[in-house]
This record gives sequence, structure tokens and C-alpha cells, in this order.
Amino acid sequence: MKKFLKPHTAYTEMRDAFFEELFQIASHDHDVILLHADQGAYAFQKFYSSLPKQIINVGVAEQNMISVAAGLALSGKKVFVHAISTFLTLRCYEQIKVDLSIMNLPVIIAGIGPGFTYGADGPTHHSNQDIAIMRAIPHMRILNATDFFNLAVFPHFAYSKPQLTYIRFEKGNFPDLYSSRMDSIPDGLVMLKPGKKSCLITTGTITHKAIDIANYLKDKRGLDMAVIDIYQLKPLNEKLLKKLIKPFEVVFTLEEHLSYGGLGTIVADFLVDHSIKIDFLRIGLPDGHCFIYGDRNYMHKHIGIASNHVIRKIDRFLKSR
Amino acid sequence: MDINTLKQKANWVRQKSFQMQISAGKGHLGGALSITDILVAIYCSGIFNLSPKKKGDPERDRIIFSKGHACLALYCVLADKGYFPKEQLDKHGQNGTILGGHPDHFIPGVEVSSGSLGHGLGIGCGLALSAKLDKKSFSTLVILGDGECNEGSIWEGASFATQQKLSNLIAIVDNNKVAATAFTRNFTGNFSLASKWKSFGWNTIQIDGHNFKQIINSLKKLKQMKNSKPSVIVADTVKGKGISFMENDYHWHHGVPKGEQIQLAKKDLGLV
Repeated sequence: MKKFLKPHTAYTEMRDAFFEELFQIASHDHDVILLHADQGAYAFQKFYSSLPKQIINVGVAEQNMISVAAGLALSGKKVFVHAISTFLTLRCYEQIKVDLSIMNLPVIIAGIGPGFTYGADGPTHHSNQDIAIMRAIPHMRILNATDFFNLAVFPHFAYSKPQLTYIRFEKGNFPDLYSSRMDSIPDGLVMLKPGKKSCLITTGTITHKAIDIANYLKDKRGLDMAVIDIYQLKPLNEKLLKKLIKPFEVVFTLEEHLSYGGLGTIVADFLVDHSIKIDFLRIGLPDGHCFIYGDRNYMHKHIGIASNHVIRKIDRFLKSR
Repeated sequence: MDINTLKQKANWVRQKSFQMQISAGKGHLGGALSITDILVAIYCSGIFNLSPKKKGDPERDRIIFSKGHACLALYCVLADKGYFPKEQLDKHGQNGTILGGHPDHFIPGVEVSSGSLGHGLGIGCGLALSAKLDKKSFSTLVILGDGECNEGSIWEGASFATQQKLSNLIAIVDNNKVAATAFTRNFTGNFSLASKWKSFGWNTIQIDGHNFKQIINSLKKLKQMKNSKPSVIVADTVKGKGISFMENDYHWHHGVPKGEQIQLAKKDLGLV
């Protein structure tokens, strides 16, 4: 795996970071097969022209794609499947359980569009329950990309340590958080900003907002809040998380996912399981479907997780202690 | 193996399946009785490259038992073939048995876990595709139920197999026309299943699924078929075949005979 820890750094699109790296892997190992359900990415052109036997568009048939992946994996193929994350996870939930998990097959489920990536496309395309349901699948490893750099490592990580895996990632461009932290990738979580007394734990691209909030609180209020990004949600690196949160009195979680079942619940479970008594507040999406149409910031404002909402919730919680 | 021997074997499978259901007090006997002759033909006629000694052989033919609920007959056939000791059959239904109410992939001879319907064809497609990619000669045979063909995923798989030219894939549908609570036509519509498969681009043969000659000839023909299509056998069968009061009656999808019914069933099966 070490040799893959220096991915290309000139990506301008998250999908390129994943699929260009996957192309490199597939070029060296012809047992790597990419199935996609009529979902596009620029790098697919390379597969079709250079590795045509290693990529198949299965059409608009996600359930069959998972079953076919199982059959290929039974024959030793190293299979990556790709579609919009909510279709891959919710629609194919039983195929994932029966065809992959029950037989413990190391298929990599790469879903694009977590949270409100497809915000303006409406609630059918929102992926706000996927972590909750995927973590209930035995053997499932869950990786959530933060930027190009950790995403570019994920296909190598998943390939070199075969296990049933769900990788969720955005399309578009996000600022660099991990280029100087590449060696820490196998750890599953990292403290991106140190702090005192309080800590904000987050996952996925909302991590960028968490850093902005923490910087704002430090500059404007003198509140030095740490930020921890958990990019491997399952299995959780409990030993490291326990060590990192030890100095803090208050823990917050922030996620673009239902506030139950996802990161907040994962951290709550962790705190309970380790009998860690600490003030704790989960910040995420409320129970319900979102019929607000707009860009991500617009939607965050209307659903209650814009930066000012998050800061208000943090303020109130700190005052209530 | 000659046809009379296959018939005797099938009769034993029916007897044993019945005894296992009575002993366990549960089990899907109706579908086990309809698929029995097909299973005996698949495992005992020598058409397929199957043997307990070939477990793990990359060139073994793959049998995907997608209609997992009918596993009583499968267990009997696998035990008879020597995949595991026949004594295991008597432990079915007991705590700690390896033979559950639906087959799992830990059972010797079982390629994939099944029980939830509509999964086997897609998995079979993946296996058949891998053989094509790796230039391996094994065949993949998927055993489906006609009620199972109501699942949309079956038709996703049917399209995929045609598109990928999976000529090394054969499906056989146990067309017993009866599901758990009704005749399948009551919820699928009264259409020809064979026509449906044909319209999806599959080589399609319709046979009597209790006629060994027809089963064996059709399997041989399709296994050697040289065109680029996947193949399906729609095997017309009788749910509950061999036990007179069970035949064509949905109550025996997973009904368990009691009292005088047991004696009548034993008589029908030649157990008394």
C-alpha cells in the first residue's frame, strides 16, 4: 500500500481523484473490475479505451449490479461498483446484505453524492440515511471522503486491505486538508485543529465548515475548539479517538446526515461503550425530508445547519452546562 | 446413470424430504417435491462437472440454488452425492444443525447463500461473466422458481445476461405455478413465462420438469449451445409432486401434514 500513498495532486474534481487512482490500480491488476449503473466520470473514458474488459455499464439496474459484483467476487475478481450513493445503498440494501455481507465478499461500493450533493434534485437524491443503514451491515467498512487527498488514497486502501467497503464521496472541488497528513490515512481519524476544553467531531466535506466555525469561534470569542475528522466511520479507531478526546470537557458532532444513526450516533455509542462521561451534543439534520431546492449553503440555511445555526447551538449548549 | 436409477433416487429424495419436514415440524415441502427430479438430473446425470472432490476446483460447474426455500430436496441430493454425511439430514430441524431452513454457503456443495428470492440470477451472471473474462470453461446453472420470477431483479439479470452474451449461463425455472398463498398467475398475470424469457433474448426450451429424458436432453443441448445467448429451461412441474393431496395446492408451500395426512403421504411415497 505504501507505494500508493502519493496520489496525483492536480485533481480538480473529486471523481477524478477516485477514478484516476482506481485506473492506476486496474492497470496493474486486471482482476479489478469497475461496474457502474449508468453513472459517468471523466476517467471512465480511460477505462473504456485502455481497459475495456474491466469496466461495464450495467445500466439502470443497481440491484443487479450488486448481485453481479457478488458473482464476480466469488470468482476472485476485485470489484468496485459505482452509482449515486442513495440508490446504491437504500435501493440495494438487501442485495448488499444477502449477496455481499452474508458471504463476506470484499466488494467496494463507491457512492457519489452523500448528503446534499444533489441538493437541488430533491429528496429522492438526498443521501442522509446511508451511514445509518450501512453501519448496520456486518463486515462493512465505511469511508467518507473529506478532500481530494484522502479520497485519492481510498481506492488504494480498499484494494490493499480487501473488505466489504462503502466509500461515499462528493463531486466538485474542495480545499486541501490532507496533503500534509497522508501518512495518517490508515488511522481512520485525525485531529485537524487542536483546541482546548471543547472538540467538534465531524465527517465528510462538512469538515471544511467545521474548521471555519472553529476558526471563527477562536477569533471572535476566544473559544479554542478542536476539530477531529473521522473519515473511517466503521470500524471506528476507538483507541485513537479515546486518546484524542481525553483532554476535552465538551464534545460536539456535526454532520450532513440525519442527526441519528450517523456520526452523532457512532460517537454516542463510543462514549457509552467506553463509559466516557462528557458533555455531548449532536448537530445534524432533523427527522424529515427536505423539499427546499437550492445550492448547499442555501439548503443548510433552511434546514438549520448553516454556520450561524451551528454556532448558536454550540453557544446555547455551552451556556446550559 | 440410467433413467430408472434416477427415478429411484428421486423417489428417495422425496421420501427423505418428507421425513425431514415431519421430523422438523417445518419446511417448504411443496417446492422441494416439484424441483426434485430436476435436482437429481442435474447432480446425478453426469452432465455437469460436479463432485465433492472438486470443491474449490476453479473449473467446477456452479449450481446456484436461488429458490432456497426448497432446500429439503437439495440437502438430500447433496448428501447422496457425498458432500456431507447422510446423518446430517436427520439432524435437520434440531438445534445446532448445519442444515437450516434456507441453504447457506458454509454447507458443502452450496455455492451461495439463498433464501431471499431474486438474487441468484444476478450472482450467476457475475460467475458466468468471470468465466468469460478468465477464459474458463465452467458453466453456471441457476435454479429459479416461477414465483421468484415475479421479482424485478430477475429481469434486470435477464437483460444483463443477454447484453453480456453469457452463453455459459443456464437458468432453469421450476414452473410449478403455485406460490405461498396463491397460483402465481393470480399476481403475475396469465402469460407464458417461456415467451417472456424468449423476448428477453434467451434460448428458451419448455419441458415437462418431471420427465428425466426431457430434463437431461434439454440440459445437454443448452450446455453445448454455441450461440451467444444465455439459455433457460422453463420446466413445467407440479407443486407437491408425489403426494396426492399436496399436488397443485398452495397450502403445501410450507404446510406440514398431520394425523391421517401423514399416513396418506407415506402411502403415496411408498414408505408403507
